[in-house]
Amino acid sequence: MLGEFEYLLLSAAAKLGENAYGAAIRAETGKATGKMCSIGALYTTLDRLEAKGLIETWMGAATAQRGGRPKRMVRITAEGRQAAAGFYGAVMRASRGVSWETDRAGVTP
Amino acid sequence: MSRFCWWLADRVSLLLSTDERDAVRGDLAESGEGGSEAVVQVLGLAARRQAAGWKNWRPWCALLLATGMGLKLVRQSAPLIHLSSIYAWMYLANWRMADVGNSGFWRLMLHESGQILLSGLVLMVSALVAGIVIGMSVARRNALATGAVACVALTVTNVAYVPQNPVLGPAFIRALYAFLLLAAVVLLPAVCGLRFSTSLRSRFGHRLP
Repeated sequence: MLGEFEYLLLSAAAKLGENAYGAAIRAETGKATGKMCSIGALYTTLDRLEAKGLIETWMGAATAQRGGRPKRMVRITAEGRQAAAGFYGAVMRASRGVSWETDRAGVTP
Repeated sequence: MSRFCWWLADRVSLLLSTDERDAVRGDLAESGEGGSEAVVQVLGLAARRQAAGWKNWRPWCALLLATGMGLKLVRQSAPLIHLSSIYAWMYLANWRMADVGNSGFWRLMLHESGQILLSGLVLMVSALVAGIVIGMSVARRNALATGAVACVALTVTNVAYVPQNPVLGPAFIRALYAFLLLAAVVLLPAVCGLRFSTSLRSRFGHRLP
């Protein structure tokens, strides 16, 4: 089972596709949660996801915008997609009928 | 201030692996973080990396080894501190030109200084070997923390074991003399040993156990 932060990173990586790398994933999770995660949390979690075989990472090309430094590129694996889908399904099932879910849908319990 | 913070962030990032260092510095540049925020971010990652390394038994074993060997070396260096301070005081405070022509004076001085140098050399070699052994048994990123903790233990023990003698009368002189001598015969060789073994590990790491 994934942790919620692992799920956030997998979702961001999936959304960014070919452009998924450290800073972009951090910005994407920041957009989703309203708060930027720390670089420490980001990179240690990416390592953990890679160790679990849920993502692949490699060093990409350097750009002038980054002061000529390379990016750590991220690609979500088939196992990663499966794990994220499983987590999403579990959260949806667990949330069914709870007050914040029904309130959000505009349904009075 | 910002320049200093970026310089500091660069220094701290040396604790990370080369690839990770480049990626993190690039991310910080791209996201337009301020200097102080960059220091916090890099420190946070370095701390997490350090903490992750300590989940393994090897750094704990190395720390135990470093502290044990260090304590032994500090205790063994007490007679050296004692003798060297007494003989240094004896020769410097009582120097007479008339003694220079005396063969007995030279024979005695060579004998005493030879003994002190020999015990100093034994300590240096022991510290060098200790540094190599510790460096071999711990990952590069944990070597710094292991060394720092061992140094604190050594300094505390040093204060406790500094010999009392009339030459090293005032507490400050005693502590300073002992520290300088320890730095020369224990700390410096140990750090050299540690650096040697970590550089060996980074060059031939895949072939070492």
